[in-house]
Amino acid sequence: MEENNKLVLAEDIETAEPQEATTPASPEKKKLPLTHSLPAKVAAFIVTVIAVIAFFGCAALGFLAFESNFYTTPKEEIRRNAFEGQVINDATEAANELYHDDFNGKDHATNIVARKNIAYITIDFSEDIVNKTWTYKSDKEAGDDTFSFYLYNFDDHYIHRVGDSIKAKGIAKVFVSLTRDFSYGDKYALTNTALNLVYSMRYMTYVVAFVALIVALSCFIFLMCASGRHKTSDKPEASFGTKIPFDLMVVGAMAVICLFAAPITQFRGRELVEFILAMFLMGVSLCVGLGLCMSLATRVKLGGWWKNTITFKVLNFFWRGFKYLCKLIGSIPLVWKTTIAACLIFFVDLLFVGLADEPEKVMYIFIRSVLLFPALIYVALMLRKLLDGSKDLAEGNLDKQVDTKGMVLDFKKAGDNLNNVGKGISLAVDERMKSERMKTELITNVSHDIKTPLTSIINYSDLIAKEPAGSEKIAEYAEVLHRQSEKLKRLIDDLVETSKATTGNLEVILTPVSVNELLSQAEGEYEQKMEAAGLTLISNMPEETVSIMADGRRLWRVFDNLLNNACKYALSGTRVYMSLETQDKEAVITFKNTSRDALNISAEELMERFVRGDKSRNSTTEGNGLGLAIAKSLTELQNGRLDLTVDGDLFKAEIRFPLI
Amino acid sequence: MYNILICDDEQDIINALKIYLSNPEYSFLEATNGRAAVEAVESNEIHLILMDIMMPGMDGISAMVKIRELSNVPVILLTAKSEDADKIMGLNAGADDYITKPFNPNEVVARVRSQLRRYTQLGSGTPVSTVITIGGLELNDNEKTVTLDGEDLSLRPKEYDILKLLMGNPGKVFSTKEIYRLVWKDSPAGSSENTVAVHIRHLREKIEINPNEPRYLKVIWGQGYKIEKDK
Repeated sequence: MEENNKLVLAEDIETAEPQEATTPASPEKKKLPLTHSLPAKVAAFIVTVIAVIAFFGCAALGFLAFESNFYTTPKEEIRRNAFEGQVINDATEAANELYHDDFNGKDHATNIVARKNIAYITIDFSEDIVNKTWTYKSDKEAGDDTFSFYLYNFDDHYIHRVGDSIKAKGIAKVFVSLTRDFSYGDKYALTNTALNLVYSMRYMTYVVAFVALIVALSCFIFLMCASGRHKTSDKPEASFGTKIPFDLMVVGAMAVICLFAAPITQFRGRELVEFILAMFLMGVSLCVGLGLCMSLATRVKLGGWWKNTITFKVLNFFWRGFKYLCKLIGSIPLVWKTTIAACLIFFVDLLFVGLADEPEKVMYIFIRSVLLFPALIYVALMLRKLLDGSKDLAEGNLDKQVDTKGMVLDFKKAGDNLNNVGKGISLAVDERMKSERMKTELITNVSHDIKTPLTSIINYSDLIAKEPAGSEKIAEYAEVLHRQSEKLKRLIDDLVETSKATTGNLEVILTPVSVNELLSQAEGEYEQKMEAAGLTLISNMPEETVSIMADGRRLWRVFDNLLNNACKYALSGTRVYMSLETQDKEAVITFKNTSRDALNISAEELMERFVRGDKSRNSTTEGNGLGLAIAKSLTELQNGRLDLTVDGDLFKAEIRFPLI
Repeated sequence: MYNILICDDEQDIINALKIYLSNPEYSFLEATNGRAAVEAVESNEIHLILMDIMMPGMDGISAMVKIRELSNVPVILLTAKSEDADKIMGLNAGADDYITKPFNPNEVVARVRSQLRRYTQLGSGTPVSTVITIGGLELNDNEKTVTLDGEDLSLRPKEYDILKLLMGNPGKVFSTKEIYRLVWKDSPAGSSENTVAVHIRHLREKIEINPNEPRYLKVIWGQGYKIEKDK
């Protein structure tokens, strides 16, 4: 019986578990947990199904044994009871034959009992009007099982047991004796075998059921752990099966189980074929159910198992629709919303009161609505004014005032408050703007005042250096003075420019600018300078013209600063790359060079004012580190973006501008 | 003999300028404020004025406006105000040139010479149709020569062609592609734009006193190049 099931199940697994069937079982190369092994999973699956079937089979057997009083009744009596039904059937059939055919059809009766495990049968009609006796005797030895009955054959053609009180006209006595060894393959033999088996196992069955239950449970737990695990990775993986919506899978599985399990309830359990068929159907149902459990386990491991269900999708769809509806209602202008709501309330009121058929109430509702409606609209209108005012404030239109004309009570107060907030903020903003402007002006003016004495210092140091009569040392010192004062001059210029660029006190006129042209021009301007610094400038740009909105002069200043930096800080003998590309509606201009000194500094710090590429602020290099800060501020003033990247010694500046 | 008026409230700067400009052809007058400068122009024959803007009493701009009523003498503004707006204002008020402090002495010397040449040679020689003159820049297409304030410049053939193209269309902006097409008579390809830009740079070094702040050959960043129209 179990052999039979095993074959059927092995076939079923492949159809119920497609995700496993797709992974070929190959010999393991490295030690993997058992849960990742496909053969182990297949084996566990089969064992689980068999164990469950065994459990139910044994439990049913135990129940049967208990119901049939196998534990209290002696075996002989059980046997008698088991054979009785069949004996009555056979005897009734034979007796009917004999009676109706008036003993002429003896052959028919003989045919009925021949080749059955009946040693002899006597039907005695002596107490009836017929007064005849028929006996059949086979050549088999008679066993212990002897049955005697009264046959009542006129009215109900049924055999009654000895001792039953029968009031009838015709009664026949029947004696049946079964064979000892049940050598014919009839129902007696089958019943005998089954009885012997069940009887011998009437205690054993509980033990087997218990063991089967334990095995089934442990295998089930193993399968739940193993589901979704594959040889290839440590993480649970989705497979084909998990792509099917789970509730659809459940419904499908339920349908299959019902289809297969429903016939089982119709079985009487008396025949072996029925029993085997029931086992088979149960096996199929179990495979499907187990597959479903494994799929659920995989989904739970992957997380969000409810997401791939039709129910969730449908609910989600409705939820989204609901949200959209809410948004739609929210987007209706305030006054309209109020009007519609007021009208709706009015009609609902009217409907209910109208149904009540009370004219005075209808009148009341009508008058109330007529009075309330303008008030509601007024509230909505005022609210809209306040709303617009607060929106202006939020957007930074500080000089717009809420028109408080026509506002009363709390509305007026709210409007006035909004106006005061606007005034306060705009005052603060003005103050701030003024202070920024003053700061820039201060820096500019101070720079002018510094430049005048600086001019003298530069000129006279130059003159000293050129003085022919002076000693060599004087000339050298004058040269230092000259160099440092030149540096001071640049510093002052950059300081003014930085201050202007960062505070936005710089006029920027945006016009269409061809980046290709600008790059060519930059290349022309810097060719000599790069050569002098031992660098090679390599530029890449597309054939088609890339145009952006920028201030050509300011943008050139950005390029100038970046290329100048490259000249100052790039390692001699390397190449400087300048390229132009378009990415997602943006023009991207990239400058790349290899730094001479190690860039032990972050890109953010590089961008900050007064920070140079070398943290030690090596004074042998020119410049003052303001170049990048100016470049960044100027780029931003033109609605562009400047990003620096430092990767080892590679310095990269990326300018992005939206394309026209 | 040229009379040069140096006007600055800083005596040290006047002295330095005198040292740099010292030349047997030049004689100097000094003024330490705008009023003194105007008086000096009233009472002397001045050929060139170097003037500071920020001075006590009358500032340089007001003084220049006054001087313009009296004389056509070239005025070079020499000032610490380096913003574009200041330069534009100065030039619009009637200045011929503009130098920012702290200045490069050589540049000052060159500009002074340039202005003096132009001032003294102005109006000499009638322009021929084959001669294009813009400011102190003169291109003679017959002789294939270019002079700057009367001094010959040695230009390479392509440089000459570019200059001729730009001077023939003063005020018009030419992109590098256009220049390449018109001068090289070839369609631009690959690094041709770079070639044009390099030539322009060399040209600027030859015709401009300070190539980074050109007077004639202007770079319109991101668009092209042009020669400024004569005022």
